[in-house]
Amino acid sequence: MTQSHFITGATGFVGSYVLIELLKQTNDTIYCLVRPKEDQAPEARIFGLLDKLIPAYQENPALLAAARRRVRIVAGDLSESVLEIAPRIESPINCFWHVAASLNYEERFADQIFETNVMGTHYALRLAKKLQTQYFNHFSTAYVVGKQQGIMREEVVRHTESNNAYERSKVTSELEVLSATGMQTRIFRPSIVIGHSLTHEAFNFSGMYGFLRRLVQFRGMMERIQTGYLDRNPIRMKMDPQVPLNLVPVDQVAQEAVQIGTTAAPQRIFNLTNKKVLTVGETIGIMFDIAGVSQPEIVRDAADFNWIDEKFNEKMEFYNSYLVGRKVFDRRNTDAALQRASDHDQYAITRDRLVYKSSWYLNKLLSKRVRIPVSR
Amino acid sequence: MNTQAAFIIGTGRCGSTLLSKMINAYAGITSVSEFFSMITDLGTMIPEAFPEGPVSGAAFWNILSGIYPKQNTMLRHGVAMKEVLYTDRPDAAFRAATGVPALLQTTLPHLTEDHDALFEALAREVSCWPSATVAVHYQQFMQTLCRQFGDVLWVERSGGSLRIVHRLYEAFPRARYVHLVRDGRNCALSMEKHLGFRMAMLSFQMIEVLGVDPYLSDDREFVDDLPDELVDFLPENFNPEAFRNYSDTQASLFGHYWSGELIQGLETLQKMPAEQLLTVSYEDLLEYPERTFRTIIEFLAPDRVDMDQIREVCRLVGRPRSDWQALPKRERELLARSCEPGFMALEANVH
Ligand SMILES: NC(=O)c1ccc[n+]([C@@H]2O[C@H](COP(=O)([O-])OP(=O)(O)OC[C@H]3O[C@@H](n4cnc5c(N)ncnc54)[C@H](OP(=O)(O)O)[C@@H]3O)[C@@H](O)[C@H]2O)c1
Repeated sequence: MTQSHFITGATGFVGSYVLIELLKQTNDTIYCLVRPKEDQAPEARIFGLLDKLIPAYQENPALLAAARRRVRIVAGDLSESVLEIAPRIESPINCFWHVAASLNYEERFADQIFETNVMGTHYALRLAKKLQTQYFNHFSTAYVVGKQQGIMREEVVRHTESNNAYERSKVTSELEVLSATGMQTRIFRPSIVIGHSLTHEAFNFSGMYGFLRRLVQFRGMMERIQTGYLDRNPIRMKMDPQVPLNLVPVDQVAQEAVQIGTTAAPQRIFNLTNKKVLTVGETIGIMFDIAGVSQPEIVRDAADFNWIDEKFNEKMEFYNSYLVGRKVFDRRNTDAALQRASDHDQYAITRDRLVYKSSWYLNKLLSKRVRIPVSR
Repeated sequence: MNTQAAFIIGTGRCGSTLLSKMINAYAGITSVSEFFSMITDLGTMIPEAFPEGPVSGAAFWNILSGIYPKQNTMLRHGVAMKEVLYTDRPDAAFRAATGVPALLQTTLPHLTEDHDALFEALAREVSCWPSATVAVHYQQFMQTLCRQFGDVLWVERSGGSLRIVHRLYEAFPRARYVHLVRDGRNCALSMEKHLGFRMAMLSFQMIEVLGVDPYLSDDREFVDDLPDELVDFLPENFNPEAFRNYSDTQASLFGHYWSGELIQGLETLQKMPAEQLLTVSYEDLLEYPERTFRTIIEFLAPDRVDMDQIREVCRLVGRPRSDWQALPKRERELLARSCEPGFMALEANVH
């Protein structure tokens, strides 16, 4: 019997792949909640995106026709008014995929982050109830654990010291999801999502890409301030070079989430993390190389920083939570719930793959920086 | 008769404003102040002021008379740097609210009360000049100004002009250059407080984050990457209060900048024949004004040395306000470290 799904955030990096996986793994009807944009109707946003992504991810082109048959677009955003769309959707909904979120983290966005991530989840839950949803699949982040170190279990996080407004919003929204009644709720916690395992394609450039971008920006600033400074003076950074840094390809996240989310798996929290990753030192080394910045000098104590080091570390503060402290993600729930074990070699982060992904992004970025004014 | 060309060059806040005032007060010399600072919109549009190939007189005039966004944003919001001399009088030709041309911000008001009329006259003349390289245009323009005041020597001075000395030397290969050097720690402290350098430094950061100059482009694709503390300085949000109070530009940043400007600028100065370059220390100008100023006049206009005038002009010399020794210990150390490469470059190059 065909069932139906509802997705929020299907125009995003992870959500669009969840949509593709639902097209691949099921024959069901899929409703997508899409925000209208000034220059693009909601339908054009989704189908235009799929037209681009399916070839870029080297997925089966037949999925495009399937999408036009099975995907229904509902215009709206995650404000209270979203409840008004319920009559336009045939209920019950089997799985509600709540992927939409704001990935900003700076304090100036704190209200907007709370509105989208906490209130947005609240309205999504109310809508899901109205639609008589059976499973509510919520996307969170493996970094809800904040400053904790050690083994990160697939358990509820109640009290933790968060690093920023984004993490705080994700902790609060998880708790709201877990306390919802009348449907089965699940939490998916991806680590740092990066491009496709094979084609390297990506289109949300937060996380690792954001780090690389900031490094390029910083190099440019330093060139304006003192040409050649970074060649003469390696940046000092505080990090734990030996600890693993968990990057996970977008296709792994979507593939595992959809496999688990469409079954009656009894577990509730899943770390969608990678089993084969590089260390912080290796990853950062590659980023510096690709950005054309001399390798950083690793220090244990910020007292060794000069003024430029201090500023650099301040600018990179968001990433510090990934670079300092050992976090090993336990995947027992995820592995137990997967009926087909994932191919961890396909998803493994190797040096070559990371170099390729970073260079791919750097080229994309540099093509957008051609209008940058010459400094002297 | 050909006029003589000279530049006072240095890092930001090296004391060149004082020297420029002294030269302005000295008979027979046209003091061209902040010309290149303004036409490059505080050093953020340098290549635009030095286009390659021949340019028409009209195009050259557009460079000089451009209403540039950074200096005019500052003017409009009442946070112009103190070197800006154009006043919003009822009979003024331009208004701060709608923008003042680069040439009128400081350069012409520094020379004459009647700057609006001079601007008009120059507009008529320069726009008709035939196509030539920008270097030829600059030379001709400076001569025109100089003759206007019946002088035989012009001296251009723009704050922080060491940054463009390679371009100046290319355009004016026979000019004389006075390199004014000041203790980097005090330059840095003074730059930190100076609104023009503040704007330049904020712009550098915004440009690199956004991938475009936000004052010249409305592309905001990367605006979410701006750190919280820079958002107030986008032209669409410009907050004069935040600008006045901006304190993140600590002196050390300018210390690194000072070092960088020296390392780079000295590369060009090294190429100059000895008779075209005079290096003078600002500290000497304060300590021994007559002797030092006399050296400068001897270098610039040897046949115009007049001790009475020199003594008179030296009354302009006051006391500097920046004193790095008053900083707290940690800041002092960081500042000293940031200036070290600059001091080393000076030691290796200036004898
Ligand atoms: N990317 C990562 O590295 C990463 C890591 C861990 C967890 N996650 C989680 O994975 C999920 C998806 O992230 P992503 O990387 O796909 O983010 P993304 O590319 O930025 O996509 C965000 C999606 O949310 C939608 N959205 C945002 N605000 C909305 C609102 N008010 N109403 C309706 N829709 C709204 C966006 O719609 P528009 O297209 O209309 O803006 C877009 O479809 C998030 O929950 C995130 O926390 C991501």
